[in-house]
Amino acid sequence: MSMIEHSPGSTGIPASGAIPFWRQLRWNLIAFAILLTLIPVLVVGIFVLQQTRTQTLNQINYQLESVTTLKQNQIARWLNTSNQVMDIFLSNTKNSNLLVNFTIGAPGQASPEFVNETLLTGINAQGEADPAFKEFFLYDLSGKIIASSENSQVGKIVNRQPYFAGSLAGNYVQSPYYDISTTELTMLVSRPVAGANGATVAIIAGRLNLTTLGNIMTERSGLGDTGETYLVSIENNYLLTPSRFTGHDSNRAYHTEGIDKALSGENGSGTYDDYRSISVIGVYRWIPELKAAFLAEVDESEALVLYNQTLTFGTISIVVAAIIATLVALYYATRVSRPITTLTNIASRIAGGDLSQRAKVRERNEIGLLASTFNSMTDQVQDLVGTLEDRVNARTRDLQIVANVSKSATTILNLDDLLQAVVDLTKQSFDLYHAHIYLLDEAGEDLVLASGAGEPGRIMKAQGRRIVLNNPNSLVARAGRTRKGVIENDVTLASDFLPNPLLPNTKSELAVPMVLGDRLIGVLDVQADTANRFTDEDGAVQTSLADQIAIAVQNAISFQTTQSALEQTEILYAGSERVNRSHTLSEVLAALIESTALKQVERATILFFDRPWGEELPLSIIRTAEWSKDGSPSPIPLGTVYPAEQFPILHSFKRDEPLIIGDVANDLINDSNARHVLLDILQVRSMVIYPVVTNDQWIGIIAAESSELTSLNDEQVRHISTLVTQAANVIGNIQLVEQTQKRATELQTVAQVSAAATMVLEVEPLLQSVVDLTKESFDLYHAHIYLMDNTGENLVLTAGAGEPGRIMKEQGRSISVNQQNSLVARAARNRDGAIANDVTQEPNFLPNPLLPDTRSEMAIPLIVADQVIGVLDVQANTTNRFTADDVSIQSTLADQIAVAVQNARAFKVTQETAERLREVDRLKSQFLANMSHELRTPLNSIIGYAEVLLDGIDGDLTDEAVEDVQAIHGGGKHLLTIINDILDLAKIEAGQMFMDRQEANLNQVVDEVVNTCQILAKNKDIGLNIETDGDIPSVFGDPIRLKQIIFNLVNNSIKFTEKGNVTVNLGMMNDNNQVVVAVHDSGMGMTGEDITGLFQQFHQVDGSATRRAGGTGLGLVITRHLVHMHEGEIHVESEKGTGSTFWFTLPVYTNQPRQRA
Amino acid sequence: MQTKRSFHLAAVAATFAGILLLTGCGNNAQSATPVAPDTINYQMGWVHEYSSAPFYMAIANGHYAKENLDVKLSVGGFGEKGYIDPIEQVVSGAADFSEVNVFSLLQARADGKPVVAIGTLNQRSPFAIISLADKNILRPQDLVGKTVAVSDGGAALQYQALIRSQAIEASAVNQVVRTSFGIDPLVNGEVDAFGGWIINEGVALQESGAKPNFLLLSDYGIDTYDLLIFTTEDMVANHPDKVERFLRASLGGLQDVIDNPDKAIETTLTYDNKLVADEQLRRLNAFIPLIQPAGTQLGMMQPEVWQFNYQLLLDNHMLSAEQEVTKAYTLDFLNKIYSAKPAA
Repeated sequence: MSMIEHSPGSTGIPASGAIPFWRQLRWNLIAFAILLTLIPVLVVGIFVLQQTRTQTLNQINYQLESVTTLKQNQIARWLNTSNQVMDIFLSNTKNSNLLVNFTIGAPGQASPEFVNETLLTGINAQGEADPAFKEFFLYDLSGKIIASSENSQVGKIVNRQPYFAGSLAGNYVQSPYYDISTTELTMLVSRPVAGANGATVAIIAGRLNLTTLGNIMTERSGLGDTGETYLVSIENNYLLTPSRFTGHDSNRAYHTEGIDKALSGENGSGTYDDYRSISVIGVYRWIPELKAAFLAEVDESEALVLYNQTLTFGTISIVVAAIIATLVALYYATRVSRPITTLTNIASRIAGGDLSQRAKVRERNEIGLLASTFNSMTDQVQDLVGTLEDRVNARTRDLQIVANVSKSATTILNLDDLLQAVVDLTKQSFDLYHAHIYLLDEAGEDLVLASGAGEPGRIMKAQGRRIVLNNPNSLVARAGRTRKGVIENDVTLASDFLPNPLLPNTKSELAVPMVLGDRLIGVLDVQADTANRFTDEDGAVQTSLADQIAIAVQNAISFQTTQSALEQTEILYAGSERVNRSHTLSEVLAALIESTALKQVERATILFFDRPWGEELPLSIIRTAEWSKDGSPSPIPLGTVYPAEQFPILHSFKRDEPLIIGDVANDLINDSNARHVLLDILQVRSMVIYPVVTNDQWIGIIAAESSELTSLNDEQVRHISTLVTQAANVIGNIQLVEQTQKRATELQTVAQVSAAATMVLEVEPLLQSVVDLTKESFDLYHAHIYLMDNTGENLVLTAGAGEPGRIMKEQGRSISVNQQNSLVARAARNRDGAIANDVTQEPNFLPNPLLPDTRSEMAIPLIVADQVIGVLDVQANTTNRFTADDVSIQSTLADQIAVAVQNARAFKVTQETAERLREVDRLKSQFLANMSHELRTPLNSIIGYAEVLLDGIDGDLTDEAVEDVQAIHGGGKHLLTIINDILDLAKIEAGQMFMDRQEANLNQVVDEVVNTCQILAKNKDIGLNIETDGDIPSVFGDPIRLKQIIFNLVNNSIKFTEKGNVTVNLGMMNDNNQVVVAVHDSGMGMTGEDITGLFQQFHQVDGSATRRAGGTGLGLVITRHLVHMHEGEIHVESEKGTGSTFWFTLPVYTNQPRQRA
Repeated sequence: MQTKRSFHLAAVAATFAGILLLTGCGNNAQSATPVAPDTINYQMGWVHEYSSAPFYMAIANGHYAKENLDVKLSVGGFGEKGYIDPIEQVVSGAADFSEVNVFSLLQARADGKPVVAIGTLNQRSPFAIISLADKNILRPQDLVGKTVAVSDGGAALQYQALIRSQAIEASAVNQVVRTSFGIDPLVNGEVDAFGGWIINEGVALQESGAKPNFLLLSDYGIDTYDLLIFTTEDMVANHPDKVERFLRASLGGLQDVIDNPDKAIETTLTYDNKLVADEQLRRLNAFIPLIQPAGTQLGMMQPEVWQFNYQLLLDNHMLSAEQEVTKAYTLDFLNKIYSAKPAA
């Protein structure tokens, strides 16, 4: 009930749709019904499912247990049968006697073959397809197998097998063990074989056929699609019988909960992951006879099929029940909630103001009663609202008018129009006789008529009607003074009423002050032609109107003031915008002048200082950009440079304010140069000069010029000044960009020249390309380079651009360094750039007939390592062409040229030196070859005589002498080897190793080498063999050198081999076009690193190897050279510790021998 | 109405209220007094591969840590200065323990180097005469008239012992020196058989798709130890506790390898990720039966095997001096470990 008591117009009653659904009656009822249905269904369902699951598992378990019992029985029977087979075999005395006699070697014993055959027959006696045993074998007490049904087992010794000890003690069953030779799990049954005295003489053992066991375990009737039984041996956890599933080897460890528990002796059942990682229900047993785990398992997914079906059915049932419950609940909930919803909606509409709504009463229950109570309450409300309506309507209309008037007023921004509109509208809208407005004057003393309705109003305004605020008799003044509305409902009765002849019919009057904050703006005065026209309410309405008007008046006044300020700002803004958009200096100028629309300015110019105005004053000022009204260029071209010293006027500039020159003729009387240029050349009569300051640097000026005597007013000057201040940064940036671009172009040229310079290694072509590039890239009239001659006193023209350059060079033009008047000589003397910006002014200038148009000239010294090596001289056909900047650029270029010249000269020297060194190297090798030869001759004598002494030809020596001579002989031989190696290498390097290549029989060469080396090999007790793959054709080579190659390799291999063999292998490769000789050894071998350095001179594997093997370390280098000289390749393959193979190729001999290498 | 709604919400809440189980977690962390572990340097006999898996597993599974040992493995094989000789490493003190074969150990002792074996990784030798099945070499007698390649050294000794024990005339078999270590000579038919390891060449042949036959020499009573764990006499005499702890933990690692070869290879690959897991696993699976043949205790050595190998070297004049073979090894530690803990 309480919800309906809210008054209309408050936040209102939410419609039922606005209530969140979880609070809605209907949904609460539905939820309740669903819960009521689902909870019992769920409880019962879960219980039933749990029961089903338990039953299913019990059933599966029972099934698996039955299978387990069955299989265990089968296993026991199988073992029993196997034992019986063995016993039956032995119970045949013929068999046992045969074995005993064979073992003890009794006379007339059977042949081994016969015993083996008997054992085989024993196995197969049962005649089954899968016999119980795979093998019967007999071993003696030492464990040696003396007979077996498998002949290959005879001779093996089983004394370390796990069954050996047990089998000696009596009847024995060996549980499965992993047999290393068969790589299978193996199970044995054994019996001692007793001799005549009852003592054991041998053991017979039978290797059980585990296939039979496998068959038992893989018989899977009643185990469904996934059930299986299998055995896992305790031996390495290997499978004893195969898995039902493919991909699971027997010989690998299997661990699962079932396997591990069973192998620890535990019996039980459970659900766990099997060896495939699939969840199974399993029963496991420890089978002590087999020392194995027995497992019967079935996949959980298969076992629980029934349970899963029940689960699915249960889920569907619950869903269906939930749907039915929802539908039923929906129906009843709707029946209960619909009338309430209807009632709520009607209440909402009533709250929204529609009082005609009534609830339809149908139900005869509590809701029906509620509806009729609600209806009668609505009736009462409707009555109450009816009377209020008329009063509110009238008031609303008045306020509407006020709103309209002030709305109109606020849209008008012109004060007069605004006030006129207000009085007209007020008169008309309120149906009045007259309305007018007084505004308080600035002094605050008089109220001045600002507007009045109709013709009387216009006349009164024209009369300039005003009322003194202190006038005690004026209704209007009183309203102004008291700041309160004043009503006179019968003017004829008012003591202070003054009839107005223009408004004869005025009967009642209402004056209300227009106040803004606490400030009086004016008074609104309205008059009616009937008495008692105005009530207090009217007073309130008009006061409200007056307040609105006051605001509007204030706005209009403010607007007018700001408007004019805005116009100024806009001009500046537009100008500034245009300036900022400008990309060139002339655009900046155009923006500055055009946006301010100064008709007097005909031309504007930007002039830059060559350096910012500071402690050092600029040297020159450059005419850089201009704008003119008619677009015509000025008589003075851009780029013209004025020397600052010639214009004293520059010193009257100030960086902070514009300089106004009202009359050039008079004002510049002291600066004749400036006056001349401005007045006579440019025809400027008056001008304003603005400083350009950016980043706190004064970089130039802007001149706004006129050909007439005119002047800009202060405002105009200020406008431009403001814009120039803003433009200064833009100008600065543009100047920077232009300078950077110019600089970049120049540096690019320098780079090009340098690049060209580095590619040319001869001086004159180098300099020619430099002058040509310089002239072209810098847009010069001419460029040439002088180089200093050897005396250091003359500069000789070495390169000049174009035809004049060529001619001057032919003339052999040169300049003495001491020549005073020469710019070129001066640059060389002073080691600094020299400029002549107007050569016609230079004293003693001699015009060159080949270069008639030269006007300015710059000479830059070429300096490298503090020494002037020449001068770069450039010329232009305009005056004032070169600045200090150009000196710096060209100096960079000059430095590059100087370095390049120096490089070119150095290159020439280096080339000559290299040539000399090559000759020296050749001479060295030559010398070495000669010297080695000279050394060998005396050495041969030393060795020869030592041999003579040792042979005893010169008589017997004492033992000590023999030892000494042997040392001499050994040392001499060693020295000879070294000298031979050095000689060979020297010959090769000197290109003097000449070969006599011919058809050579390699077999013969190899035989000779091997024969020679055989003694070395014997001394070390290692083998030396030759292996030949098929017929080896002749090769094209020098037999002596081939022998040297092979000898080196074989000798090397023997040196580095301590035991084993050295083998020389001959074969063919590459379609039988090449013979391969390989020398293989089983020596110490090498690492990859060793191999890398192997063929380098003086390299040996490592220090220790050298000590053991000896040698000069040159052998392999020489060998490689020799192989290469035979157009062959040599390779090595080696492994540290196992040996090395050196192999090389030789071309097969043909009838058309190749050219000598 | 308010009351009613509260009621049924309460009912709903009650219906679905679960039982909050508060489980307390006891803090069982032990505050063991930290004693700085003893550092043990182990010189591996070869590069990182499956054969060192027992040591990797002993580290990974905390067997060494449990014995308060910090074991550092040094890779073997060929180093910058050539072959890393395990005996030199142990004798020089660079390593505390290492692995070596029985011949080298006996020769080292004959040369006066004080080394002692304390256990063995594998108890049966992988050495076999390997042939292709189509050669039908099933017993030593089948070698007659065939070409057999056998490397010099220990392999040749064993081969000759086999031939002698089977009373085969040495010249009846064409014995050549085996110089290359691949399977090519056999596959290419250059030789009929060669002496090799079933866990190396044997597996390689199987991988190549060939069907090999193995004549395991150990089946004929000719057995060696290839991976004896050894240390110095000084260590055995003066730090028996350290030796026992090291051996016990290492055997723990060995057992872990047997129990879970897949995990062992996974751990091995963390030492050298360039190894191929499948290849390593195949070799390890071939190796495991040799580690623990049926009915043996892990790491155990047999005096008769020692005696046999000593005699073999002596007969072939490959020892620089005679010696008391029983001093070359000690079973004390193994026996102590197994008496304290009955074999599984």
